[in-house]
Amino acid sequence: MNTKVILGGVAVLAVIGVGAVFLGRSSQPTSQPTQSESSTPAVVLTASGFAPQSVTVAVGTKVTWTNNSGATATVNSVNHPTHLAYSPLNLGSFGGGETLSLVFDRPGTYKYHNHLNASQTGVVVVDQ
Amino acid sequence: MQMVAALAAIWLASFFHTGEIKLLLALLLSLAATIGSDFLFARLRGKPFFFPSAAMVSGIIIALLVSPWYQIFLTGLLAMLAKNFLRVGDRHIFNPAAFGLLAGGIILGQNISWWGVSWQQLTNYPLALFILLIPFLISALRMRRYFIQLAFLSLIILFGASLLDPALLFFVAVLLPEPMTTPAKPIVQLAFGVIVALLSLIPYFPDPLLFALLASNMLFFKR
Repeated sequence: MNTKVILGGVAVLAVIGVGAVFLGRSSQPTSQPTQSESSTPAVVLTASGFAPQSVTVAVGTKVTWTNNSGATATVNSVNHPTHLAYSPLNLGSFGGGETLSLVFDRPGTYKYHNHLNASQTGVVVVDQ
Repeated sequence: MQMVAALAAIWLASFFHTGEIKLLLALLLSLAATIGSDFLFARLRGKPFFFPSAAMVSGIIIALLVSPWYQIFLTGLLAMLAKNFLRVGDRHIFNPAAFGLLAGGIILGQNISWWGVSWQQLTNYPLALFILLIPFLISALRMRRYFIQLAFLSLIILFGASLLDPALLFFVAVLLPEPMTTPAKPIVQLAFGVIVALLSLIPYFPDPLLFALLASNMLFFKR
């Protein structure tokens, strides 16, 4: 009985793990309007989320976020809620009309979200 | 019941912070799901009537961490399913609330928002953060799980996490040290805390912390 229950628990976790692979892929942002390389890349947070949801910039570019959502928000690195993927992107909270910014000095893909509304996500792609 | 009272205080603070009446309905739904299903599943197992304090704790946690009503309801059911049926003898293997949250999030493809325990930033809401920390008194002193909490916090801060992040503090104070599914011996508690911290680095959808906790529940399970 004990072995069966433990095996049952392992099987449940295995199913959950397989499900996570597929659902995690399906939960990735689908094609969204993107802002390609610009001298002054800006992201605006509204009640609907970050816009544009994806920006592509060159190494050494400063990206600025402006909060027009009407509520306090944050810019935090993934993964929610630990934010450990890229700690410089944990920029803290900002109120209505306020801005946050970060210079991206290394190429890569940097996902972020609003910690206070984790469904609001975005990504910064930094090219060489 | 002390943990129920502490969690109720956190929920009340979040409720008044948002001012949305729908959150009260969500809490009632969560409690109905957890208490109702706990009674039902216990009866199916032939257990006698009991006071549902554990289900109340799970219900309030779920109401604080997720939002859509269907996610709340499913999470509550899954939590009590794990509590009643994923067990060996008198002990369940997994933290019920954590299991329900992770499984519900995976099934529905939804993140766990941690909405009720994310806003208590020290600079803006110090009193609310103090309320959030009350469960530490219960889990650390009464449940005697401070070795788990210290080991986890020490390592996670080294990894770059913020000690003042309210969601992280809630996890450490309430979910991490659940006494039925965590070791009692100090040296094993230290190992448990370290393993949870290490596993939390895996970017597991929908929540790395809950995945790390559940995996550690299984690894350290002892009848």
